[in-house]
This record gives sequence, C-alpha cells and structure tokens, in this order.
Amino acid sequence: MNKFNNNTGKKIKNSKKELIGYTSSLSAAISYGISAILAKIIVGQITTPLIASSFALFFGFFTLSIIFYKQLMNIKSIDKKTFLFLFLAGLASCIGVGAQYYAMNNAPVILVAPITGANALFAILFGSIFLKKIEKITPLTVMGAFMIIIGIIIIILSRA
Amino acid sequence: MGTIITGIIFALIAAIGWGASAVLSRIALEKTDPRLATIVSLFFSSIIMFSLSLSMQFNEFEKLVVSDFLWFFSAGITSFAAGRLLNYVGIKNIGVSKASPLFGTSPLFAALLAIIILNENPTIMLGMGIILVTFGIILITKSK
Repeated sequence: MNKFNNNTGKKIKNSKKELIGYTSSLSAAISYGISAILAKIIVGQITTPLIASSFALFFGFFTLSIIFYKQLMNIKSIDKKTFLFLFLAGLASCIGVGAQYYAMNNAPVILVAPITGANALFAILFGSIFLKKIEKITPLTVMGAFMIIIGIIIIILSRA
Repeated sequence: MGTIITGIIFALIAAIGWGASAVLSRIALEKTDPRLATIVSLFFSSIIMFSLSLSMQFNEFEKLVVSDFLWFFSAGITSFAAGRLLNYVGIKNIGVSKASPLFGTSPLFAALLAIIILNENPTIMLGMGIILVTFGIILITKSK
C-alpha cells in the first residue's frame, strides 16, 4: 500500500514538474516573440542589434537582480564549476547573437533563417553527447523537434 | 558568392552557439536555482556584449537619446528577464531536448503578434507552418 502511494506521489510530482516545464518553455517563446516585434522597431529606427542587445541584457540583469535579491544573496553557494558553465552558456549565447548579425549582413534571410532556426537540433545533438547521464532523448522528441523546425523555417520564409 | 558562404558559416556558428548555450546552462542548472543562474548568465552576457559593441561600434553610442532606453528596457524585460528565466525554468524541469524546440517556436508568436500589432497579412505558408509547429509540440509533450 505504501509502495503504491509512493509511486502515485512520484507520478503526480513528475507530471507537475513536466507541466511547469512545458508552460515555462512556451511562455518563454511568447516572451521572445514579443521581444522580436520590439527588436524590429528598435533596429529599424533606433540603433544596431549589437548595441540594442547590450542594453537589453543589462536591463534584464538589473531587473532580475532587484526582483530576486534574496536569491542573489546565495551567490556564494554556486561552486566554481557551475560559474564556469554559466559563463560559457552566456558566451555561447553572445556568439550566437553576434554570428547571426554577421550572417544576416552577408547572406540573404532565405539562407540564414533555416540554418539558425535549426539550433534546437544542435541542442539535441550536444545533449545526446554530453548529457547522457541526466537526459533521455526519445525518437518522438527528435521527430517533434524536426516538425517544429520545419514549421518555423516555413513561417520565417513566409515573412522574409 | 564569397560573402554568401561567409554568411552561411556565421549562420552555422550562430545555431551551434545557441545549441551549446542550452546544453551548458542545463549542466549548470543541475546544481543551482534557475533565478540565480539567469542573473549570473545575464551578468556575463552583458559584459561580453558591451565589450563587443564598445570595441566595434563605439560611434553609435553617441547617437542614442534618453527615450531610446525605454525601448531597450522593454526589450530587456521581454527578451532576457522573462524570456531567459522562463527558458531556464523549462530546461530545468523538462530537459534541454524538449525545452529547446519548444522555446524555438518564438518566431510563430512573433508572426502572430505582427499580424495583430503591425497589421501584416496572414499567408497560406504561415498557416502550414503553424500546423507543423502544433503537431511538433504535441509529439514532444507526448514523448516520455
């Protein structure tokens, strides 16, 4: 009976975790969708993508530091290795933004968009290599990712 | 032709950069809270981006006026404060292989918002894209 209760408890906890994960990821996509509209206005009328990204990053950092100042007090709890991974994650993301900017300057959107749009496939590929112990990648996930990427490429090209 | 190949190479670098960033943050999120991780990663990203823009486009800074900062602030809130934080919460809870494709659906929402806000015309291709993305999302949420 206890084992049954434990299993049910685990299942409920896992489905709650999944629900939070799916909702957060899709909410992040909506948030980025809004920012893309803002970016279109900023880059068209105000300044370059590089300068706009620098200030937007700073304001994002500043706002979260104020809202979550209590969590920020625990910064000493982060070990050096985690700091290094966060630094590398930030660096890789900046390389992404900078490289996309130069790609758009050198090649037409029709070529650039399908390649940059496939970044999730690289995430899955790297995940299957480096995250073997903490993540299980299923064929259904890969199929779903492919469908999303093809759909997104069609959407980007329809607006290009 | 040379510049097009350069463009394609940079596009590949961008895709690899974002893919790597998601995996690196997943490793970091194993041991830390997504809120703290977002703040730290935004701190590093700000320093890197400011260094790049100051060294490459210093003259552009002089052209900025006070009202421009309201736009940067709005973009910072939607793109980085909310966007990156929610992305990290997603990565922590469902993993990078599911969170990254879902997060990658942002152009769909941008297109829908452009129709509503910027009065862009919806097309058949957009409809096809939406159908594919929806099926993709369903497949990912069904995978165990």
